[in-house]
Amino acid sequence: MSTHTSQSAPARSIVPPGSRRRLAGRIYEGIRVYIGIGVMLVVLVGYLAITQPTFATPQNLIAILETNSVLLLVAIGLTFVLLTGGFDLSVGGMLALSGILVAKLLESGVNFYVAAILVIIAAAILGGVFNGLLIGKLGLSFFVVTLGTMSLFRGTGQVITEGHGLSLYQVEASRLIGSGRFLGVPWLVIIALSVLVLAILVTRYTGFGRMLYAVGGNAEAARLSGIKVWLVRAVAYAICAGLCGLAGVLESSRLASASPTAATGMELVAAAAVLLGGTSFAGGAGSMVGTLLGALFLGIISNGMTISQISSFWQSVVTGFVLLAAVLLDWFRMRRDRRLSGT
Amino acid sequence: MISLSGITKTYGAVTALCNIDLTVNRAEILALAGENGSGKSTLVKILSGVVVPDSGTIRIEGRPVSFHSPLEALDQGIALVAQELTVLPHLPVYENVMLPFLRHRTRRLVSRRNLVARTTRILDELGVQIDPYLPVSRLGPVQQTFVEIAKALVVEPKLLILDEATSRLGEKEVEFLLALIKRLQARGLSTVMITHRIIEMTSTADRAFVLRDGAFAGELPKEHLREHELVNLMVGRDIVRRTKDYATSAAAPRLVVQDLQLAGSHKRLTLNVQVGEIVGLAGLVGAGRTELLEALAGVRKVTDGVVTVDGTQVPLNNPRRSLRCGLALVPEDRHTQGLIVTDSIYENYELGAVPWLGFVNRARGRRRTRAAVARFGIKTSNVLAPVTSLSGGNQQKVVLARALSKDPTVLLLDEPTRGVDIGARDDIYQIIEEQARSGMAVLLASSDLVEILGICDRVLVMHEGEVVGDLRGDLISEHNIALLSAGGKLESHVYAH
Repeated sequence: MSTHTSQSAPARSIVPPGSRRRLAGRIYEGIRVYIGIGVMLVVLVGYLAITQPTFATPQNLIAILETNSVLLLVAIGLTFVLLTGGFDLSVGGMLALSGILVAKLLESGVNFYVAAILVIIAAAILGGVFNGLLIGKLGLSFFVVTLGTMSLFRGTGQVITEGHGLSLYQVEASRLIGSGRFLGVPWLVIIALSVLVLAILVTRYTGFGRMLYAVGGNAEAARLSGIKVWLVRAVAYAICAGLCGLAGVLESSRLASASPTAATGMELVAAAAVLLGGTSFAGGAGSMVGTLLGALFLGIISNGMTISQISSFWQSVVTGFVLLAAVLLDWFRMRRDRRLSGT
Repeated sequence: MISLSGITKTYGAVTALCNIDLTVNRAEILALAGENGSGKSTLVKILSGVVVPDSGTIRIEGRPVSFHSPLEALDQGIALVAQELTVLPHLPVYENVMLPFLRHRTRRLVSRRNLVARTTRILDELGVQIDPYLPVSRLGPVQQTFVEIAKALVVEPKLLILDEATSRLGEKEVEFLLALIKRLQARGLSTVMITHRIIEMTSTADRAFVLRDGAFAGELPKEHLREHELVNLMVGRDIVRRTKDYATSAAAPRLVVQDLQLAGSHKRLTLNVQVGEIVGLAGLVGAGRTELLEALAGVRKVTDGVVTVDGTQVPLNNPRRSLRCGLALVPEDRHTQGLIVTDSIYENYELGAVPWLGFVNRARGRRRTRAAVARFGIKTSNVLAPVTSLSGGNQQKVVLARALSKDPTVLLLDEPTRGVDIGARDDIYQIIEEQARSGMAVLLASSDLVEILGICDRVLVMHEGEVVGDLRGDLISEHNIALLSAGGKLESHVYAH
């Protein structure tokens, strides 16, 4: 620390002076936002590990990751959008449409990997143009626009398939990605975690990543500093849609079929994961690591209730309570921080 | 009719009003005068129940009253036409005019015919012709102002407060409104008017009540109510000008603005700033200073004109290109425009420093931030602390430091020391002078005349979207600035383009 002014200055920083305590303070600063979800996660995992002998087995833990990798991808995409202070209701519809598009491409004999990449690019362009430009450039309400595209994307899927599901079972590459493993780890998990790492790097270490936070924190200040606010927003929606495209490819591969009703209600579950992870609905604060924790928490709750043989009807009740608890916890934390920083 | 005694109001450490005694008589037109920040707005807010004073009493016809909301003031017969329009744009005129009666409607069903009839009657009485069924958003600013006035008068108040009600009106409408006030005066209505045009006060008011720095500065009865006396009362202090220890080079205009026309205005702005010159932009709130600075920074739409920096033409309406051409803006409100309040000092300093695909080197960014913290004397022990943990003055230094980190050649400062404590204020002045000494052109808009007189080499005065005065040397005085700001003319003033 080159500017050690804490003795003379009225240090109102929440980090106490003194290098050792300052290091501890910096570590605390780094993990502060995860404390709420972290504690809940530890308690949940501890409880399940003790009461359910089948919980803490490698097979079960991998199964949790596998079932939730699609959710994690959508939640990562949604985190990009939430960081800018927006929201995307069309994620589920985009996911279903992408699954159908990839199935249709496979039917006409296109290679699986080529089809997957085409679909992801198409999804990103669709999301970027419809959601991104309407919200970013024209400044329309994200709620109305993505409500419209939600219906549009899902409806298009239904029109294409006339409401039926399409099978992907014959395609070997799709089976491999959907249920195959590499060194014992499902490909789904490998892909989802790779995307997560990439998303962490993008949000933390690129100019674009920091612009996301700036636009969500104060769009006017960002604009006055020469940031193209509309483009940042549009790109965030495009990335979100692209990740939903990837999620659609993976989901239809996992289930070996593409259905126009796939991922119904996914937007709310993914939003719950993002918000549980500490990302602010108002934008400008949050992180990809938090989103991982949030998605894991929802996955573990669902898994724990299944192996404890609790009716699945209770799952959304519990999720709802947990979400409210997390928001309340966040409120307490913010109030204390505000008091400490003296504003 | 209404009298205030010993009214005091403080906001934190700032005393907005100190021990004010004011009486408004029945059927009197009182002009409330004072410079920006003299306490006029606070006094109006107290009269209309928006703000509760810390101490002092309010009496209406001898009875002590206390208002805790605008509604209570309205019940006591005090109606306010606020500076900003408060119409509901999507509702028709009659709904807007009859809005004060909305709360009575729960008792009986609303008769639309009745509402329209009463609206038509009040509009007829005012002598304005507006279709009561039209949504207010379809009306122009003039008609909207009259809807606002009709809304205030429909409750038949005893006291009408007009806070800059004429600012949206043209000359003819102003005359019409002033005549209207006089007509209502004959029927016993008292009026408190605030206006930035001195001529409106001298022509209409029975008395002027002058505030200065939150305290009573003096009163002028009708027979003494003249421009010169009024300005003297509003100003009433001497400020020592700082002397400069270096000369600006008059030969080298750094920033040249020619016939700049802002969207929505038909006025054209022409000005220039030399190398190393600090030019003040004075004027009243709403005179167009912020708009000019924002237009130069590319963030406010410009329809026509030429801006050059060191001879290179600056592309208009493009904040990034403006910045690249060397124009950096420190915006007026650091909370809503300058800072990302949810982020750290480091994030705020480095805002926009890394391009889209650029790699964010946090260690280097923190080093740069620490260097800026040391250079500008920002008082903090940790650049990762939230920017809101800093005092107002230090927050402002972060915004200023960020603007300077873009290596500008022209610095556009909008109210750079508003809400800044005295110590940090001097630091900021030093930073500005240092930059000017090294050749930067500085354009500084401020409502604080001490600041304008203290550090500026030249002062441009704006009034209603135009530069109306270019003051240099001995002509730079508080009196002259106040006079020009209020639309007056200097006796021996030669305006040089």
